[in-house]
Amino acid sequence: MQDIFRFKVNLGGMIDILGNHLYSSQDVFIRELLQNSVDAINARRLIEKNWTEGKVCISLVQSEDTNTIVFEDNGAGLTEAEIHKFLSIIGESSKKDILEGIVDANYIGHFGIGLLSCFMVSDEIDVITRSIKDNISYHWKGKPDGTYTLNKLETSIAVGTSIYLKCKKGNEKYFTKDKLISLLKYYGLLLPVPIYLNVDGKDIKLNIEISPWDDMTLSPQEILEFGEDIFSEEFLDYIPIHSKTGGINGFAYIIPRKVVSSENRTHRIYLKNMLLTEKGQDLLPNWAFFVKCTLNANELTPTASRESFCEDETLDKTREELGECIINYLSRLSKIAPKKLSYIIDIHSLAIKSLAVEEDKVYKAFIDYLTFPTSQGNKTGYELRTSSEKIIYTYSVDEFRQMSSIFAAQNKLLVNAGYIYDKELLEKLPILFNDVSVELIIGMDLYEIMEDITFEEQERSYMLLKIANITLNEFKCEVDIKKFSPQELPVLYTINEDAMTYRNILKDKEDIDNSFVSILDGFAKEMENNSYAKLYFNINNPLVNKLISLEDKLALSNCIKLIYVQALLIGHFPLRNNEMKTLNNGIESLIEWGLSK
Amino acid sequence: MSERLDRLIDMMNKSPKYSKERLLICEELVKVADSENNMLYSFEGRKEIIRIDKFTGDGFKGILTFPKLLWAGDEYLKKSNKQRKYVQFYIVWVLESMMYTCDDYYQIEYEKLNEIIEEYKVRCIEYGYSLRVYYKYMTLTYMDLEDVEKVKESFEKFKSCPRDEISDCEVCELRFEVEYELFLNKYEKALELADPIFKGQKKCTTALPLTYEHFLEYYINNNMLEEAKEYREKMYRLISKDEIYLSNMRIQFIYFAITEPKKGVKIFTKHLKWALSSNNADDNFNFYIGAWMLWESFKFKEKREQCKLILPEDTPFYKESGIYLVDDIINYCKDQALSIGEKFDTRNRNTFYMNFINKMKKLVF
Repeated sequence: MQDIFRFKVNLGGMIDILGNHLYSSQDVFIRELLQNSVDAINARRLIEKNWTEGKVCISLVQSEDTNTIVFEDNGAGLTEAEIHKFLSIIGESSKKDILEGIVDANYIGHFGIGLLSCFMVSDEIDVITRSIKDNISYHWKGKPDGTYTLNKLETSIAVGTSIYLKCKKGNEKYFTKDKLISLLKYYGLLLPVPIYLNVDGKDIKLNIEISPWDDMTLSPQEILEFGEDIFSEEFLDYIPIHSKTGGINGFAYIIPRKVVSSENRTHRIYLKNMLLTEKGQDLLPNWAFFVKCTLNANELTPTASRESFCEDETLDKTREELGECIINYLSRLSKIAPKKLSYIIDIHSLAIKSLAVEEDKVYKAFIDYLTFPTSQGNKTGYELRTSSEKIIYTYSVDEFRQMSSIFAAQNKLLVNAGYIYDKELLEKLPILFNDVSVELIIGMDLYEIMEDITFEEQERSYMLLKIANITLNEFKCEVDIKKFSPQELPVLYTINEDAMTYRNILKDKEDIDNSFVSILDGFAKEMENNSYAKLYFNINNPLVNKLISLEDKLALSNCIKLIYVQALLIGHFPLRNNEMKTLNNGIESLIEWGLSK
Repeated sequence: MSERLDRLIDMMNKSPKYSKERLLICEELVKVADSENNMLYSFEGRKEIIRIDKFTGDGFKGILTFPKLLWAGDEYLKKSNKQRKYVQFYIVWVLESMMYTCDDYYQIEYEKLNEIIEEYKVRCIEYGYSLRVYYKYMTLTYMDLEDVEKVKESFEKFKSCPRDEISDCEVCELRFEVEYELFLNKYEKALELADPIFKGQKKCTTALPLTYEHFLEYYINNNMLEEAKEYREKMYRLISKDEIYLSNMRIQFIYFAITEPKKGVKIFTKHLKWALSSNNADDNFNFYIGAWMLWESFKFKEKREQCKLILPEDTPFYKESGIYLVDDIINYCKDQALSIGEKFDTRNRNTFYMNFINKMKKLVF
């Protein structure tokens, strides 16, 4: 026959595991005590159906030796057998039906490890208890070495349980009035049982008992103020949220400032009205980064540390339902308060765009409300996708700046996708919506807005083209002559990305007086052959026509240089030394010419 | 200071850290600061550009920005006595960042690279900072060159230099020590050092995935594939969403090339777009050498001539049908790895990259 051995548990080791690995902070001993008290009160309610006087009273006894926290509830209390079973066997919970392993839905805890957390702040735990089931009072004293004593008390006390925690060295901060108030409020704000702290002989109530989402008397302003109190921050609006699956009710508050989608935000997530965690990211869809939530869940399963929820199908479904609440709110807002929606989207547009690029679901939810700058003013995603025109876009702000006037003059739409994520968002439109087509236009590829000149015009402008190409060769700029609107625009300067970088490198080399600028030489060399700029003369423009007729080649060359520099200035390109010199010479010549008249 | 510059500074301060939005604002800010000859903000804006590029980009923007930042910082220090410590701190910080980044670009000459390293050392001494980071860099360089004696010597110097405000965070230093111990084949010691990182007791964003990578590399080199399996999975989960880990895909590919190349194909298709959009030559080299080995192994083990893949449209050998010849993929990855490797070897005047290619070949085949 095989010998059967029992595992031995090192309680000191267990406490270390709880403190250093399972719980993220020692603060949780307050939560565990509150939880036990509320569960004991619920247990008494099950026995005494009409009993409604449940309460939890906490006091801090200060003495010269040490401070003691006393935690009292008038719940069901424990019998001797229950004490041996539930206080002294780790993993055994009074809230479990032992045979069935089922936990009553009203109970918060059920792992049977909560009381152990008190050893993180106290070297001994004293429990005085009297069960509603008998008339005998007991004193249980537990120590972290795994030993405990149990004595019957001679005097009978009222039904309920009192727990005494003496301050363990190094944990003095928990045994102060202010810390106790803050922790009790933090964890127990919404508990459905009154929680009192006795200060100077007076009981101060610390919780509100009715959750704001269950309190129909609250005005929208009061709901906003509730959120502001909790998070110490003002909000733009709030969204009532619920999930049938997760048994969730609460509010999602809209953050009034720009946030990065990956930033961790604090929430207040309650489980059966007890604060569970501030980390609610897992409960919300990842795109809901622009809200902070305070909510209560009744149907989700907490992890053993009770600081998050178990990842299971219920959580997935809940997440989906909470997402729908937020999307429905935004959709409703688009109908009843479009300005408010625009304001919210405007603040969070970058973060929304970043996620919309990654996730189709987010894209579909938000694209209609996002705005894009165009040659015809700002247009929403909805306006773009429902327009019958092909959507032409440019991905450089500088190019847009140069080309938008041409598109506007021709009553054509050009979208500026030069800002972050806009290019990716536009490119996704035809993938996710039928009958939408988009086309990228780059400076070198302007057939949409330019017409070729005729053979006769080509002959007529031969000299301008020839001199211009020779003149601008030193600036690495090629010249062409086209026809485009508006006729007031004499030239259009375009440049590709490599050329832009190349230009900047050359400019830095001119400006900087240190040897490190030559680290850029290798890059400049690689880009030299791939980088080019182009200047288009507009044959519809009267000035260009005058230049075509100009026979003085030197004057023509000087004019071309000036026009080139002007085009750079219009495009906000910083001038290089030779360009600045050209501008100065041109102005000097003009002055001299004016004076000589 | 103009109202426009003032507004841009305010916008920069309010914009989320490391965001593309902040980058755009900073680019505008430096243009305006330059035009107003405001050296402090010319420096500040560029420092932010380098910082954002370091944590979210491929380093190219940082390199382009660096010479003018250094110039603006020096000009400012010549003319002003205010905020000197701040400017000096960031000059050293940027130089440190450039030591690593410039090394990744073969376009930067060997002499210039050494000049940056030397400049870093000189500035540390001049501004009163410890040389701890310098010796860490030297240790890593000698590790690449497999010069054991010099590795040990530099590491000792690293340990003997005090920590100060320019030192790497403690977790990153711990990770470096793990790398050092593994280099010396002291597996048990490395494991012991890595324990708090693995347990999450010591945290830093890159420390955990890179520690997994060091061990993964060690396990693969020592044919400990069972152990490698777990660390590969853990590492991939942490690196799969951030483009800064482009080069770290190499070891993922190598693992699959050795074990089950079919599974690595998915990772290749998912991350090829990172390589296509990156300017960082060393990162690309690592990605393509890994991918080359993966596809060679795929061809050999799966006996396939072609396969159907969804690749980015800007893939040079893109096919609308999605059907690709395995040889086309192999050739592209091979050409990329070889041509980049050759350029690095020419720049570095050694054969490190070609040797590395051969080492990877031996590991897989």
